Amino acid sequence: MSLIAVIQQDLRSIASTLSGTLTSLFKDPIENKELWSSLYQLGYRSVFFVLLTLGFLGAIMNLQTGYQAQRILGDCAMVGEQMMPLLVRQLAPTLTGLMVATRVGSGIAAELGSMVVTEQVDALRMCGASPIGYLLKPRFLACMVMVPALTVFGGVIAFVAGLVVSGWVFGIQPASYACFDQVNRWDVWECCIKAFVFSMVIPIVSGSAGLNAYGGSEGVGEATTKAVVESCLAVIMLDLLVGGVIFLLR
Amino acid sequence: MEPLIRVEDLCHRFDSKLVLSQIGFELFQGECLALVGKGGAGKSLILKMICGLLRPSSGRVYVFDQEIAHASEASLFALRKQIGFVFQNNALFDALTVIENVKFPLIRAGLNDGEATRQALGCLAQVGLEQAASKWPNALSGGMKKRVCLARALVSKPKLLLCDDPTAGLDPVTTQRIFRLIGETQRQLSATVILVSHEISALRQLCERMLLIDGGQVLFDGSFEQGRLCSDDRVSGFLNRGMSACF
Repeated sequence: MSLIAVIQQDLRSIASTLSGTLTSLFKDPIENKELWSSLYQLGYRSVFFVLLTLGFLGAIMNLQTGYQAQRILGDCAMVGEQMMPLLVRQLAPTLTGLMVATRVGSGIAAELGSMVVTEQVDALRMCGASPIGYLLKPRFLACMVMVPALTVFGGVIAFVAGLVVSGWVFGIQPASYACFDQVNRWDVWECCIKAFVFSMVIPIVSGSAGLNAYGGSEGVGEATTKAVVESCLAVIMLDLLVGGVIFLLR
Repeated sequence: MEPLIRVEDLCHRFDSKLVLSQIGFELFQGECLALVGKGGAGKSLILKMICGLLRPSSGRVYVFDQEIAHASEASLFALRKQIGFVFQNNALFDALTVIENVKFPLIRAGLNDGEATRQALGCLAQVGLEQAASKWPNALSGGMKKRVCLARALVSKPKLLLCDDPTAGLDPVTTQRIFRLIGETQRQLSATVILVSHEISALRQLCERMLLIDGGQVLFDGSFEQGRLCSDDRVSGFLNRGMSACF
């Protein structure tokens, strides 16, 4: 099958999964047990990974920015002021989205994929449960709650890490670093919209890959890889799209 | 009398490969049909098409007078309430305990938890597994998993029971027990049963009719005795080899 045909097939499958999930949101009752389990698995168990990654990346970004500012301008006083809009607009939502796409996306695809190849999804259908309504909807709702929350936590940790590194390496005062003068409402909107969009796209893309798995363990592996690659690509492409639209609207 | 299942010119392709070709048969209320054939002949596909888990490339399947091949998923949900399916790989839900697995179809059908638990425990007792109710599927042996899968298929008292190799990989004692349970259930519920298996001698005791599938086509449709005496060597050979393998 050609690459274009594969992309077309994947897009059709993602669109069908999205429409099925949105329909199920309004049609089927919420599976409370599955929802709580998903909130725990996708949210609580991702916190440490996301915080650690965002913390390190926040520190690295500040280190590199401070180094460049010192080299070119000879002064690091504006590092915090320049970093804050970037942190709100870009670092917090996009890096959180990418981290969630790798950790949560792979988990969703592997779990659903193994259920498909062991006929558990067929068994669900025989028992009168829709695989999308029973399996994917709780994960979708959990992501919609947890991705924005993780974005906020990740942003705070990246800020704290940047504050510490800037003070320690470049001697920037905390009050000087924590300058939000350059952050406007558009930056906050951009962060919120990105977090919201990523929270929708990650479970849909991963769920679609998992539910379309076939074969045995090899098929599950392929579905998992596909979920991570496509979720990350979707996050990056939507990042550009949302960023571009907001830039034009400013 | 109208047939409970009517399959007409069923064909199925995977990519360009034809795996089922012009399958056709009828099955009446209370009948027990053995679906036999070599591995990969397409027996499991036929079962999945009868309950709408798989859509055929062409042809028609009527179950309870309803056309399945082109039915919506919503109408299939309603229809599947009357069908029990024993999966080849058991397909027990890993995240649910044995009792939760068995009562799952009842809960989905809208029964309250107390009544669903009572009925599920009754079904587990029927298959001799009431003590395993709180266990997780991964703590069960192969035979126990099969019996739980059977209990889940039977808990809604189906009018049609589809069993996809329910004794695969089991020892002879457990195999006999599973077949006895299926036979008892069929008599109690007056259910129509389609049984896919390679246990020819057990099938012969349980089913009055067999359908031999070979290369995606129906090679023979009739009783075991007729098949054994059939002039086509492929039919008599398959049955005689199957019988001798059991002794």
